[in-house]
Amino acid sequence: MNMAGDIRVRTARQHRTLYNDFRNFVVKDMHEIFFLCACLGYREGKRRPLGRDGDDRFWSSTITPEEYASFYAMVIESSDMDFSAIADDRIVIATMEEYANAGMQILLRGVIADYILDHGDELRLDPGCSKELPKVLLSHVYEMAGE
Amino acid sequence: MILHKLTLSNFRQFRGFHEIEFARGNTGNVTVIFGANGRGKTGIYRALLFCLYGEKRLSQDAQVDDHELYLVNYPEMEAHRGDKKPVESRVYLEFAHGGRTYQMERSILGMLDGGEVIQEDKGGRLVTRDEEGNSTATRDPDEIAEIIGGILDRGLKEYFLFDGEKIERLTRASSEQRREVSLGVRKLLDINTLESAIQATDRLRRYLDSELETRATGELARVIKQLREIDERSIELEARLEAIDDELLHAGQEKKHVDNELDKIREIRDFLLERTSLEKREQDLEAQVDDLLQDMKNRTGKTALLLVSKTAEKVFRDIDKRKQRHEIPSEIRRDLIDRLISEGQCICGTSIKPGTDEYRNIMLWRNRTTDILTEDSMLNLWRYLSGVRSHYEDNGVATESLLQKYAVVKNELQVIYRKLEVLREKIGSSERADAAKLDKHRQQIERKIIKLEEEQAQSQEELLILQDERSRWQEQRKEIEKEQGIRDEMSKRAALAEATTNALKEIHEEFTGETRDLIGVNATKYFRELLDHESQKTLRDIVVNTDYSIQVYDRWHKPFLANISAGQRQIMSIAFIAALAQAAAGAEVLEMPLFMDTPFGRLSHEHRRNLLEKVPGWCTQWILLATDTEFGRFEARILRGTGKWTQFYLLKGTGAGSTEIKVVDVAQADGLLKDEEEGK
Repeated sequence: MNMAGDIRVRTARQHRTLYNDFRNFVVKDMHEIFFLCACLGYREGKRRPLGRDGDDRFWSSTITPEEYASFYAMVIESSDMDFSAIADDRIVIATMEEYANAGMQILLRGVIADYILDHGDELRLDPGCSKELPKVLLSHVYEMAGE
Repeated sequence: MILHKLTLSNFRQFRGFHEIEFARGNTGNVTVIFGANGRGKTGIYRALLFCLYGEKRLSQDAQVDDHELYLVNYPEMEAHRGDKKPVESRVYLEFAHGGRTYQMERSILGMLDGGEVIQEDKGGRLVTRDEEGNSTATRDPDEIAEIIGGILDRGLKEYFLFDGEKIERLTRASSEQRREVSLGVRKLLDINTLESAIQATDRLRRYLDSELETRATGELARVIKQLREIDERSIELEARLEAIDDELLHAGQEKKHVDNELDKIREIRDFLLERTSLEKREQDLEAQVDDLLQDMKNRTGKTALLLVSKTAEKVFRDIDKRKQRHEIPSEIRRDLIDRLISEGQCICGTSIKPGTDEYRNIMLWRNRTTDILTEDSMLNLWRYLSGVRSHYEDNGVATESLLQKYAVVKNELQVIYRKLEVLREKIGSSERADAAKLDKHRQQIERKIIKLEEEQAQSQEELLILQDERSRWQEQRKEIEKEQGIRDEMSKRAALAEATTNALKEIHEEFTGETRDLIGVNATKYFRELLDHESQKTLRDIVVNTDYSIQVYDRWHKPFLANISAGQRQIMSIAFIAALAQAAAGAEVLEMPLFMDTPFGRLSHEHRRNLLEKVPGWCTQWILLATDTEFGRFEARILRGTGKWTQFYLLKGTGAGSTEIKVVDVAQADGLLKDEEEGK
């Protein structure tokens, strides 16, 4: 558990543009939407391996200590409180990539479904109606947190 | 100007032919034209201005479109609708001035085309007959305007031919109105002739100086050059000041025009103002929405922490319990226990063999310990998670507050959007939306006026400085000429021209100053005679300013104009007119009629009484167009008492919007008038 900053965090290749759009319209940086998706996937108990479908998205150095600590907590809880599970940050990040991938699917099918433009291989946010998305997403997260 | 006779043919509501003979001369000089509202009193005032100046619009017509303003009698046009022949409306005025008699006639053709009135000017004709009986006639509009303007300048007509209720406006005149009045007064007092003479001698002086400059040498040449430069700059400034005057006049007229246009759409001006204010609020709120959305972008990550708060809490508590049980940090490190087990002996020398109690105990201890890396990780994680959990509440509160603020702002925006939608529907067409452009245009004009007035003040100041400088250089020039004994013909002529100009200027200054003082003194005299008892306690002197605007001072010699009533303003204006007429006529009474429409509407009984008693003696002719609410038996009794009231006309409705003019014996007037006693 070093909160390593030299790891390339991966997301689904299909979400490449989507992550950029999120950074432009909804959050400040990519690690935030990654964190949100990981939390959503974890809460729903869903993991979705990237396999060969992933590519590097951002450096782990951008992940905040609070987010990293939450990642560790998720990994520990999911491994029956085995604290040795967080020994290797690469494994922690890899686990989170799977949760985040599943979490993004949850978002895509749910709260942001109406804001997506589907260009076949690539998904992106509809710039015409994304202005209000920070509010939509924040309300959604806040409501979920209260459940 | 003494009015003799006015005839109207199919003019306004006067269908057919009508005639009014005005009282004039020593035996009686007051004519009362009496009629209820809408019977055509203002129609007669309008006929007079139309006949003399060709004016079709009065100031009160500002909001009436040209196509709605018809001078030709409507029933007569209606009667000729079938034969499609135009109706001729004619106004004829006979008057005398300066020993000559004038017959002015103007006419206009009108016909109905569908629902629309088509009017066409036929122009005017002026016949002048001199004292010997020789007549000349002209139809040339410019010549007619020049002759009539020479008798009663257009800029001054409102001093003598006026709407009684609006005459008080003279005390509120704008700068351009004052300029117009000033020009008229100067013309009336013949001051402009003197001004022309000053200009001529000044031109001659400059010409002679320029000749001298070519011949002079040394210091004298330098001084003359300086004087020439001052003259040139002064001329430049004077020309600029004149141009500024013109620009101000045009800007004032333009502003008035825009105001009239805006008045027509006044009902939507409030909507436009409200729209502007709402649009500003809309912009503010939209900016707030943007800021809040930006805050939300920064908050999403922190809020997401709440999604896994239970997990973080669970892990934190687990580590915390271990800490409390002293499992971490371990009292004995696992690597030490492992070494003791492998060596089979404790630090204290006790043997640790498998199967012994000591071995079992040390194995239990080993199981409770964690490897050093994991232990470090747990302790670090505990530290981080304690930080994370301490922010949960703050994060929740901050997010909730942000969402609430957003909801409030969005709600207000929705309300504003709805209001704007309603307003835009009310404002409607693009034609109406032009009001916003007009408003903007008006602001531009106002800014221009302010700028011009600033430039005017600066130029006037510079001109004064130049005048001082000029005097100093002129003194220097005299000294040099004296020292050098320069006394050639050209120098003498130049000096004479200079002296003549200065003398004329002094005369001008003295004359205009004296005239203003005289007008002020006489106006004050008349004012005090006309004022009611109560007002006399407060109001004292009328003073005529250099631009012929007027001011009234109170008993403590403080300007008081801003505080007096409309009735008092009316009285003040009449006093000023009487004084002006007297000044223009010299010792005699000026031959100018006072033609007053709605003369007493705003006046108290005491003011009416004073006016009725005094004015017939001050002016050569008084024509009153009065309604039954302002001219009753009380007024008639006072007026009859002056012995000057000899003509009385009744404007009588004949149905269908037509009026006839009936002459009534003054002695019989009471039968038509209301019994309105003094003090009621």
